[in-house]
Amino acid sequence: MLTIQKAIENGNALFTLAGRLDTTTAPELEQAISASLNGITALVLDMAELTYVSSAGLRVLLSAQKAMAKQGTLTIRNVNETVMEIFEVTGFSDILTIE
Amino acid sequence: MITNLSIIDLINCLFIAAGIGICWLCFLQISSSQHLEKKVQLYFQLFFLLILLYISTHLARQLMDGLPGEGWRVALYAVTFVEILAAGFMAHMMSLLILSVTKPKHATRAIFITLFVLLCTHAAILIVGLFTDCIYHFDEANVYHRSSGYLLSNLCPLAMLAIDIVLLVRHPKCVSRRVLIAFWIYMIAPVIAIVIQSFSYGIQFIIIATVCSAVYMFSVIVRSLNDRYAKQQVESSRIETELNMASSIQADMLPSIYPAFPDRPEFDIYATMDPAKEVGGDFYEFFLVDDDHLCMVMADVSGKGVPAALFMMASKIILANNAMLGKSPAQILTDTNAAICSNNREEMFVTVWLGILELSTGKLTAANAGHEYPVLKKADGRFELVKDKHGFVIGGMNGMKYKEYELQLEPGSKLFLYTDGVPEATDAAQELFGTDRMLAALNENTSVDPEAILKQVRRAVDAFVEDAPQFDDLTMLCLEYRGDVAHA
Repeated sequence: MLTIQKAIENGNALFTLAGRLDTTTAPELEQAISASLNGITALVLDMAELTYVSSAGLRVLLSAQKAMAKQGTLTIRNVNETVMEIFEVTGFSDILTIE
Repeated sequence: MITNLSIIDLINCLFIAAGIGICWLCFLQISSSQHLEKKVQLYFQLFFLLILLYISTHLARQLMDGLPGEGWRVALYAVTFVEILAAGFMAHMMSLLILSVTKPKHATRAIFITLFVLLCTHAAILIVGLFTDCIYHFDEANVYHRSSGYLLSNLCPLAMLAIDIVLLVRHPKCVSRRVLIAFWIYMIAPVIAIVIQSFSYGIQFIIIATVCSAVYMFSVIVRSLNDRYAKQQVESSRIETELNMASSIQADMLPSIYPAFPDRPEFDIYATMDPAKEVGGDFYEFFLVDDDHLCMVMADVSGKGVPAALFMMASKIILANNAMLGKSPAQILTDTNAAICSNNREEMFVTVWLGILELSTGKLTAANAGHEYPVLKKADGRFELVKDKHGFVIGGMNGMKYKEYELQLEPGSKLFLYTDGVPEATDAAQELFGTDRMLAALNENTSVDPEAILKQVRRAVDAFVEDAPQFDDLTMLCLEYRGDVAHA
């Protein structure tokens, strides 16, 4: 289960994620991001309520990072310990901007 | 009561009774048609109920026509109202059916709204007619007569019919020929019946024409849906066969004959891969680069199923080719990353742990591209995570460089490698197995051989997840280093 809350305002987008980002839910986030990427210069993903990220979820984050690198910034916020460990183990902590 | 039925009345009653019987049969048959979607079932059930309503009220009017008294008069007005209203609903349902199969690119919504407005107008005209007698009326003897505005009651159904015809003419390829012909028959048959009827006043050909063409249309649609279902069955069994073949091809790609190196007493190695679906994205690999160097790989492709399996095959071959050239682990990962990134539009990636063990000295050189921490047991110690330096996953970003590190294995050391399917095995309550439970399972009995170590972990995972379905591929490798016994 994954819930995505979107707030978009003058080129700033905040996505608040809650639940699990895995094989079944990753396509939802992929769609949500690609649908609203147009004209966005700062994308923030709030992961305070996100409990788990699988490799399929990492793939979506990587695509988002690549897309945003061309038009602005991607920031990841409020990462919990489990998810942070996944980012560190996979080396994603080196390429993502995590606050 | 109705004792003076004429021959024509008798024929009409027979037609209508037969129609009612046929409609009921169809209605019952729909509920037992397994291959029909629920939506289509409901649609046809409604459709046949409407026809039933239409011809039953028609029959009722025929039978009650001319019966004296205020009670019969009210009943006559009621059934006639329902009859013509049902005719409007039938036309509306037919239009919806044609709209849903033709799927015009533009104006679907506009047509939908137009149809609804037409239906409402039809009902409104009938309600006005009920109070003003402008469409039909019953004389003092309760005998049915058309009024001057009778055509008004056909206006909306005819408009819907016109929309149907335009849609079918403009989208002739939307359905198979057979279904298209059935549609035309259903629309034209009642019109022809009305023409015939107007010459031989009395016999209600329209009833039999409506019922027969509706049943024909229904049977043609059901038959074409059944054909499609049968085709899908063939297709899915073909895919299943192919997946089973792919599954065994993939399994054959991984070393699986044990003991793997019966003539090498310096080490023992054992590995298993257990995909969650027919094919998986995990893989392991081990082979001798030369007489003194054993290369070991544990890897996990993002995602699952066929895409992951295809990507896994490519990565495995590129990795092995690079390793066979005698490069260092960091160089192997760097070159593999460059090769995969050059052609990776789907943005798949793979986490890889790759190590090369010098068998004569026990020196292990390894590099980690975003993979899980390896687990090492020193000669007389317990299994512990090695928090090694991680690089980024392979295939994720062009131009990544990887660093390598060294570990010293003493005789009696064991190395355990795994993919995230192990620590992230999940029980019914969504709790993860975790590395702590994994280490506990490894340390249950540290003295057994690699095969038994893997069984130990597998048992613990199975006991933990219980009935929850296996969600991720489960892949493990264990190496036991015995040292250079030949020269000792």
